[in-house]
Amino acid sequence: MNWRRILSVMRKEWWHITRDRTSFVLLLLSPVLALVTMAYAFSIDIKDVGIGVLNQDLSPLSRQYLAQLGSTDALRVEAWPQSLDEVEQLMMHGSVKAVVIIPHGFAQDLEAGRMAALQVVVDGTDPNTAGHAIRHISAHTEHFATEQLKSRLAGAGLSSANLSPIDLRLRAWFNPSLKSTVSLLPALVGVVLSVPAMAASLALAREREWGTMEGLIVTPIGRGELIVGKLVPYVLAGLLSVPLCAATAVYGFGVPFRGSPWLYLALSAVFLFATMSISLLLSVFTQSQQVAIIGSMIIFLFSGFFMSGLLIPLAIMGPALKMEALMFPTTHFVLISRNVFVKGAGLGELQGYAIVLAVMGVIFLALTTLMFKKKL
Amino acid sequence: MAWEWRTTVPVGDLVIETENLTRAFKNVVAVDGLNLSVRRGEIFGLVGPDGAGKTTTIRLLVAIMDPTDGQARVFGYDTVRQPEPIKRRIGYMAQRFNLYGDLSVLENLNFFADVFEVRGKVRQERIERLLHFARLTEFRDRRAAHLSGGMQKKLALACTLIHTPEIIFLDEPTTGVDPVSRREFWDILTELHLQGVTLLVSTPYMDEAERCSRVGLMYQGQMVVCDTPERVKAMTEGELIALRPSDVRRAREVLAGLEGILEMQTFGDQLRIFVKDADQVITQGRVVLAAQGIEMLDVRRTRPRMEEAFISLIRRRMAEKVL
Repeated sequence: MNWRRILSVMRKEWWHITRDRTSFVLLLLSPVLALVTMAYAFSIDIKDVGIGVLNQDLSPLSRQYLAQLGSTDALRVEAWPQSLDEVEQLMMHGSVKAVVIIPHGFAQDLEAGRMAALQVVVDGTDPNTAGHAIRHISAHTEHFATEQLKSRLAGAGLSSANLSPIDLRLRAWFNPSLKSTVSLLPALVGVVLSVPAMAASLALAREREWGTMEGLIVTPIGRGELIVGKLVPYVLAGLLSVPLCAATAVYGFGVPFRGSPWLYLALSAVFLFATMSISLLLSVFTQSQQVAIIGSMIIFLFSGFFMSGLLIPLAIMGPALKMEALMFPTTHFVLISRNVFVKGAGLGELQGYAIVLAVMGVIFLALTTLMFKKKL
Repeated sequence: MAWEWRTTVPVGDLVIETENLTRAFKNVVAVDGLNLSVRRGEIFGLVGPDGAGKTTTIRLLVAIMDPTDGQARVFGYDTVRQPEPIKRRIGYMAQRFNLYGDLSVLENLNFFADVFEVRGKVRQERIERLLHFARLTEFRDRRAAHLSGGMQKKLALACTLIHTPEIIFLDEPTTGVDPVSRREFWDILTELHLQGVTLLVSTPYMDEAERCSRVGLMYQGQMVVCDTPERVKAMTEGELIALRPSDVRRAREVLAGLEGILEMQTFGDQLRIFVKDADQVITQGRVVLAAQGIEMLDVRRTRPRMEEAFISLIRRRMAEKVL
């Protein structure tokens, strides 16, 4: 290894990356653009679900129940059908996702101490929204029932203090309102950083396409010198996108950044080193730039979306799938990213992931160097 | 004679040797059992039509491609087992422009200087000299992509020379270059040759072949003939007549029927005819042409040019293959 040669290859590669202004700007901005698009596309916070109510009881009690139902931002009462036929029409059109039906005698039954009936129909075509509606309507109904019970006990002169034997107090640490963007955006940063990683797969393919590879392999340049010289500038270029992505998450989506920015940058460098080593290995086997790009897209986007824990939590994966997921660098960086952003984790908590990524990078870099032949 | 220096440059030990060198691709044998030897100080010309195997031969010799059979040695090193020591001492200029278009002239030179570990004062002086030598001094800051075709070739040559290689391999260095640049390029090659550099040049141009100390004619992966230009020209069969009739096309038809005609080639308004016996054909030709009312404006015996010699040798080779 001759460091002068490595330096010279690095400088030349940096010129290739930066001198074509358009592609350089695109390289820097595309992760940010991808981040914003995907943040909106994958945002799974459901609120303001439209529901309908059919109130056949028309009692003060039933009105009280309904007034409280529509008072949160989880559900919004949008329609007041008058008959079951109308309910069917509304559901058919999809203009409401659920309808609450209060039958005759609802208030009468409650006041007489009998079990009162209440019906909820939900649109099962979209289980996520349906589930959301069911959860909120049930919670509200339970709360209403408890209040009724308490007032009845009070009326009978009994204390309602020990009505529930357990006092459950829930607190979500790090993300009190359980906003999905807080977990989603840091994970997405890992996925969108595959864009610069894909660009690295062009490094060797481009020289083949230009015909410059022939002039390079006829020199005494070492294989390792060439590969390392090509890798480093791409890692540096990729790192420029990291602060842009982090700033977008923090200022654009209100995600807290509690960790050390320098640690985050350093760990991003390790992550880029791992992914770009894979890109380069791919680049050894591809003759054209198109093939290189398509190949790395399949590897990084597929693993990024489905294996990294971004959409499907690692916890619910089967052992085989989980093993597979852990072989992709994105999986580890998603964990790093979430922990630094949301928990403010330090190197002590994250060194395990960092070591795995570094080892991956070294292995793939060594493979690339071994597989790259100075022959046509 | 203009090429007097040919005899004054001492020709030394063998620097390139091949033995049954063969490279087969999926559908074609590009190089087929080549036996070649080049001595230090030669300008060796590899000539032949497109697809003859010239490029593959050079790639095998510069150790960036492995043969499927046989072997090649450069400076005594085997191209398959010991490619790196060869690479340090040779220069290779590929047919396709293979420098970085987005780097300037100077940046390209500096890059290759780094790769070949040419440093310090030597490097600075050498780059200045090469820029001057390639007439590129005033274009040093221009990006390589923005140079003319001829200038690109000269820059490629300059980059090839940065580590003062002992042998330079040039694959069709002047293809697609205008005649003036072509002449200039060859002047540079001649200068190098005078400094004792060994050159192996492939070319489709016959006038360039004439400037070599030895030429090898390749056809379908094989070496048809390999000798000095003088001897190659002498290899053609029979004698050559240059004849200028008043109607070339009809004269060709008429003369084709004559006895003792080996081959006829048309050059503009001239017919160049290889014959067994020149006197006999000239006498008979005059008679048969006159009978058809065709005038013989000029007729003389002549020596074959390189191009005719090659066409004739290739045709003979093709005829042998058919039989």
